[in-house]
Amino acid sequence: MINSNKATVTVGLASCGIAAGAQKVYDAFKESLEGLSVQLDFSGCMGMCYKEPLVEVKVEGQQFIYGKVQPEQVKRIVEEHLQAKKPITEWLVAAEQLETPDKTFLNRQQRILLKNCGVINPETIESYFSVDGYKAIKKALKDMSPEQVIEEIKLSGLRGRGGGGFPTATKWALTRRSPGKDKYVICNADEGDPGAFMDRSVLESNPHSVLEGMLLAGYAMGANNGYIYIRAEYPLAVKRLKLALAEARSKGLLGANILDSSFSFDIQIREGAGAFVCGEETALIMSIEGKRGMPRIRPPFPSEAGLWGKPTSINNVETFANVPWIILNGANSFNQYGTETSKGTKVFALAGNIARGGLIEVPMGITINEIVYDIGGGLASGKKLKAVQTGGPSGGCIPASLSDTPVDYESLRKIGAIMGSGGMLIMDESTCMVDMAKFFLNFTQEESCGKCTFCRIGTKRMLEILERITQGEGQREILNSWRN
Amino acid sequence: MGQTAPNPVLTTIKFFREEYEAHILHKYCPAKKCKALISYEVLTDKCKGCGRCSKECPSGAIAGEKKKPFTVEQEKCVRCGLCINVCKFGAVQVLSGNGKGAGKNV
Ligand SMILES: Cc1cc2nc3c(=O)[nH]c(=O)nc-3n(C[C@H](O)[C@H](O)[C@H](O)COP(=O)(O)O)c2cc1C
Ligand code: SF4
Ligand code: SF4
Ligand code: SF4
Ligand code: FES
Repeated sequence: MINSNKATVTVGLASCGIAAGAQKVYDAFKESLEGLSVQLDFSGCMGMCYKEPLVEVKVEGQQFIYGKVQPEQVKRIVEEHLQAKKPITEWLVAAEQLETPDKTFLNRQQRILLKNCGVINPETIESYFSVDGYKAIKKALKDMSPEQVIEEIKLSGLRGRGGGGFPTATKWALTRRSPGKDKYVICNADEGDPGAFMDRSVLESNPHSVLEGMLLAGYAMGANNGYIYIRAEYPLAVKRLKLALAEARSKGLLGANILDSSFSFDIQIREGAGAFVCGEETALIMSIEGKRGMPRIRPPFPSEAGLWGKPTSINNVETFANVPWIILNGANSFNQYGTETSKGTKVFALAGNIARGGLIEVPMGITINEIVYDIGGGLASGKKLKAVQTGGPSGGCIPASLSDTPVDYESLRKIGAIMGSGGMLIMDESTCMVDMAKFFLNFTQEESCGKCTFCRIGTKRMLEILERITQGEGQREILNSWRN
Repeated sequence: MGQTAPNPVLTTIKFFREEYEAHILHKYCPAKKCKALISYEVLTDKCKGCGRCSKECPSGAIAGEKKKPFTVEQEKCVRCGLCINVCKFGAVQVLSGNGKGAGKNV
């Protein structure tokens, strides 16, 4: 593990960093640091995806972050910063004693769940241990009854982060109460919204936090088996999850009699083909059962009859990642953030026309304006904000005139948008809103499983009408008939 | 999904109704994005006749004599917008409304 006296270099190696060339930067450091007393390591997503590849340098306990690092720059960083102890100011994006514009990107956030993303090494369990990893499950097994775990989650006010916002504790309590011995915990990592990458980043940067959340859920509900349903297009996340599962098993944190308690739990990975509908919980369950993923009518809810007809609780990646923090720090530390009905923080993938796009975590109730301007640094084009789309293809668009709307489940719903799973797309004045609506509808149309008439035929008809409008052949009546 | 599918459409109609109306009533795309409703044209007073746009145009839609203003042949133009980006003199403009735009065959 990281020895605090020794200088360290940490390269962010999540998929987006690797796509930007971070692996080459890592290799260049490996070569340049030969024979020096500097520890080289890697981490996941540091959040500042707009400045990839990112490198964190720690010298004498002080932290510096370099952005857009190219392999050619590595030699100079090693010579000047690590050896001569002179940071290269013009390449820095953030440092404790340095005022950079990028600093507000970090300062305006509230990083609970992402706190260790981009900090720890996602491929060693020791690294997770060093940030209190698996202490929450230890605490629960030792000092808390399953009911107390559910009670703590209830007090925290945690609601599902997969889009619906259903109270997590209620779901767990229902599953616990359902009769039967075999129960299942499922983690939904299907992440289908175009442009969304929150779940991928969390899994690539801190996979153990999700496993620990699932363990706590299993303990709370009396379930002994868990599944992670993840899209096959996320190979790095799958790889890190597999490593994490193997390491957790070898440490007795998964399997029979966890930490010598009477609680047994294990987790399997299921890779999905990446269809958007398979993110819907009943379709996802069918897909795990080996059937074609198609949503079915609820009730019965999965909490009564889910996977293989047994009581099942299905939650999103981010929902699980919140759980260990809540158990360890207490419900009241969590619910101090947020609004009356939306507690805690929310992770967003800030994308589109934004100067500083990346993975952010904000307290619920923050306004769209604060996200766009304080954190995102305004629009990339320098033009005026036109609209923000949240919730992907199921969501809605928020016009600039309502950009003082607080980001919480109820406020967003009130204006017709939804919280969604965390995609946030920023659009400037040069975006055509008809074209934008067409893009999302086209997505839904292509992804429709075809079971229901409205969805199959309705979206197709609607899309045809939008196409006609963009070709200047639309009819006025349509605007009135489509009012909701 | 069927229930939520119309959301992006309904919210944009609700908040950007004028924009839909512009497309429908005036065949005008305010953002100048919808290909059937826009046209690219060279401004004769700004064009230096360097020929760069003509060289870059993927569909051979721009022609002219060196040092004289070039012109865009609307029938050939596929509205990719490349010419606007390559012209160093800001001589290409994109227009919409007032009968500009070649219709749906693009
Ligand atoms: C069409 C459709 C797609 C969905 N896609 C996802 C998804 O990709 N990830 C996710 O976590 N939830 C998705 N959901 C929501 C899930 O059905 C489910 O509500 C959620 O996983 C529950 O977890 P939570 O309570 O932690 O939010 C989708 C729902 C629908 C209707
Ligand atoms: S047809 Fe559409 S609404 Fe119906 S189940 Fe399939 S995706 Fe869902
Ligand atoms: S690039 Fe610009 S200046 Fe040159 S010929 Fe084209 S329009 Fe004229
Ligand atoms: S928009 Fe594209 S196709 Fe049309 S003239 Fe310009 S470069 Fe050529
Ligand atoms: S900083 Fe690389 S994934 Fe975010």
